Amino acid sequence: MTERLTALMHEETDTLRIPPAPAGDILTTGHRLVRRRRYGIAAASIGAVAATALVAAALVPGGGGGHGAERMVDPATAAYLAHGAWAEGSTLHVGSATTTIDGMVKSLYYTSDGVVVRSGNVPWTDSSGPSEYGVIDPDGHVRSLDLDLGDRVPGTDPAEPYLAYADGSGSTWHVHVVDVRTGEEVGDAVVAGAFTWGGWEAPPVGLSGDTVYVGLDDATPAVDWRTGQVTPTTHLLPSRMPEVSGGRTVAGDLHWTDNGTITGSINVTDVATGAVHLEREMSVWGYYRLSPDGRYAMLAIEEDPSGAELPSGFDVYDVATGSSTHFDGNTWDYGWTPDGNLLRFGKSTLSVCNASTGACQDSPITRGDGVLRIAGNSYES
Amino acid sequence: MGTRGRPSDAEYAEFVHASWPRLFRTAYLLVGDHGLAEDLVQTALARTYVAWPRIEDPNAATAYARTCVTNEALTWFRKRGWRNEVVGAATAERAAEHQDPAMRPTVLAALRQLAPRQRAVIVLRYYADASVAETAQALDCSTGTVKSQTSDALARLRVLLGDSVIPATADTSSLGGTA
Repeated sequence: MTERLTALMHEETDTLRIPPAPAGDILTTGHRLVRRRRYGIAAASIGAVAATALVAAALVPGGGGGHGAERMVDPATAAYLAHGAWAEGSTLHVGSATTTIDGMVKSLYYTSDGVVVRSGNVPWTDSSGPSEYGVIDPDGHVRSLDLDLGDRVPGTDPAEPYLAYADGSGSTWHVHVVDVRTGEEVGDAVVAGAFTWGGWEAPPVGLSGDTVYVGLDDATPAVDWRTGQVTPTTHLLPSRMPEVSGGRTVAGDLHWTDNGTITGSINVTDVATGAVHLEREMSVWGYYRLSPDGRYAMLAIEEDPSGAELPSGFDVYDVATGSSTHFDGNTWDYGWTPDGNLLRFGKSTLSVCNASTGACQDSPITRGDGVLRIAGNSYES
Repeated sequence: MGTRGRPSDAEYAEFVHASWPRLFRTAYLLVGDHGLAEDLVQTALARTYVAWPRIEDPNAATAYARTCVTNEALTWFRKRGWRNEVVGAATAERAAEHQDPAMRPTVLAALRQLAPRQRAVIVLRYYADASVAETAQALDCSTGTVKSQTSDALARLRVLLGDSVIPATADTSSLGGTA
């Protein structure tokens, strides 16, 4: 009985003057957004994991990626550090625990107290509905953080029990820090600057130790959330996702030339000292993804302007030594554990791979129908 | 375009040209403004390009872009306050109850007097031919909310456009949809 309404709407638009599709402008914007999101897509830093003592469990070949040292933690935490966290729809896998939540998982963020889960009615982060937060501890216990942050981009540090996010309007932004163990806000600092580049409700933030990096239009300032002191940074570009892992960030400057080739370089930069690692001249479009501890960098190649077939698999580099290990498959099928191992998802197998040796340990899994979300990977859009 | 990963510029340009007219028309019904509709669709298609590797079914790309258009429109309304654009709406509604049918507002003017999410529900369901479930996914709400929003919106449109456009049975007979 609504046919007339439908017909009226079609009549209204049938006579509409349709402007030409600005495909070139859309592609330019798309390329820019990809570049901004891809430089430093991995999670925040892991500094030194606050492990309490020495430990036993080498859960993956090579003893895991965790700084090469054995650490004593309870079995659930050891499983969390070595196997990470992932989700499909409403089902979450944290280390060796599995649990379900209300709603669909949008994204997962590593902290030292478990994985922070962001959920809502749909698995996408850019929807207009709720975007609620909770914590799943390594035992699989779920607790709410009583936060609904919309499309804001928060930051966590796998070595710290905190979640940071920005709020505000105009050119004044409050940087809030929440202790995920208690749900209490423990920090509120103010930073000034315009934010128009990303389209989110507030500038995205990254957290590393006591420092929150805020992605503004003209700068990416560093905010000490314990003191409120704001200082400029020199090695983090403005209008970019501010991601720092183990004190390192990925950087670079690639350009399409007028004759359709790509020029420029990418690297891994130490934020404090400016020391550059893995500098690489590029003739193809690609980027590094840092492990949560900043020790490894995955090189993802996305496009070859010559039209040549992209290489099979990808390389993971040890940032300190420059040595590399080759892995099969596509980079987007992989994630990281908090301890610097690679997670690879197959149809019925989850592999945990040592980033240095490439040795993998497979476990059977039953995949569901939900959208896959791997902790530490960025799903902002 | 059938493989995961990002399409070439030529492939994506082809997709843009193919999807642009329908997305523009949908955006225009949502916001009622040529320039803003153009901006919304541009933004939506740029975001769709970014999201392409995780859109597992390329045939779903247009639906994804349509969802982006809807969300961009709702964000735009939220930032500006939709009531600012419908000043006098209540007066117009009261006048419509007694007007000569020939003097009733156009469908576009009537849509502008709906709250943004009600407008989005009407446009998605009765213009874009989205199911209740698809509309709920696009608006990130439950199917029950879509049905109640549809009922409220149709009731209001009936006042504005008349029973000949929205028969009294429409809001009950059409709500089942294809959830």
